[in-house]
Amino acid sequence: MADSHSSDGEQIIEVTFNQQQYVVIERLKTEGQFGRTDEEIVRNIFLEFLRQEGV
Amino acid sequence: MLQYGPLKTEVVLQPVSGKALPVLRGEVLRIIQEEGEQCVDFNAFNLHDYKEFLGVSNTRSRNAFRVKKGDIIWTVSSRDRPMFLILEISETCRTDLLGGRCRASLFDRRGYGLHTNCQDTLAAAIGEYDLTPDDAHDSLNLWMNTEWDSVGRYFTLRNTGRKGDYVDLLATIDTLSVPATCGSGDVGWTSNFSLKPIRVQVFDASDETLARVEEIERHNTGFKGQRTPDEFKVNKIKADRELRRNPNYVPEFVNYPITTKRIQIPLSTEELAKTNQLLEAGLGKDVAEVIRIGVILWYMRNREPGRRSR
Repeated sequence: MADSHSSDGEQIIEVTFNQQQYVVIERLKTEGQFGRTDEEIVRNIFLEFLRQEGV
Repeated sequence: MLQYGPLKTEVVLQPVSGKALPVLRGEVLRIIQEEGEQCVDFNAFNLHDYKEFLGVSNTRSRNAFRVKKGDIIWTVSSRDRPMFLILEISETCRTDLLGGRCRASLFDRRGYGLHTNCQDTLAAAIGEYDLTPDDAHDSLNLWMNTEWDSVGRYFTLRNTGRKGDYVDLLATIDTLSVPATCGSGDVGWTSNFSLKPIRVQVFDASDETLARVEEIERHNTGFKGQRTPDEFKVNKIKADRELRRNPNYVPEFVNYPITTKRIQIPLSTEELAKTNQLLEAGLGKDVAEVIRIGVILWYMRNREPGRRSR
């Protein structure tokens, strides 16, 4: 896991997706509801997942 | 209940016999308990390509260990197409997708010598269409009251079928359908220690049955993997029995090799703390894996088309 800290206290997590998992990100990118870039999609979907999990 | 076409074929299968019957797209196969308490083994093939046949494990994984009214019976995974829809099924018809089919050695080892068995009955029936004993396949078992315990041990209970019970199967492709009266039931609970006949009817297609087939096709065909033999890299049926390596063969695995894309995700201290809660709960081995699993799980739950809730 190649993580790093940004200046404002955020932590950057490097997440890998294989080409079959990446299909999901592409599909959600087309949908537009969760963002336009890979980073936005993954981050926003994960935060939504956290919310649904009640964390 | 759908309006079927007129009765086209009717046969009574005497004990320990079977019959291969063409049942075409839109036609309905009805299997009836003539006296009750008789297990029925069922095989089926694509009438135009016998290599596509009823897929018991595919049907099991798509439905449950038992099938019920409204369930689709699927062909083998290499083709993965709807083959039948269960239109009607009597409440007392327990179905089984675990038992496969009985075979002679099961009974010989129990001291019965050469005893009737579904492998041989099905083989005899499909011989009418030049199919061999190797072509008989695991059965969709009807009126087979089986159970399993918490460690997976499998056993048979008393047959619950009653006289007049029936199952209606709507063919969604042209089939060679092969019902057989199970031959094991005189020495076990499969058919309550006696062998009985079964009545089989085929009804013509009607506008209503064809409309239902079209609806099934609309929702269940056209997906990747629902292939025809023309799409197979090796598509000639092997004619001899010996296996020999083809030194020139190069396999084409799907999406091979697997590659990965790295995406940098910023998380605040608070978000990271929440992620760590899931990490501690065992969702993943590290924070990155928790995020990846979370994204895919979210997609499965919220966006996968037609997914059953789990």
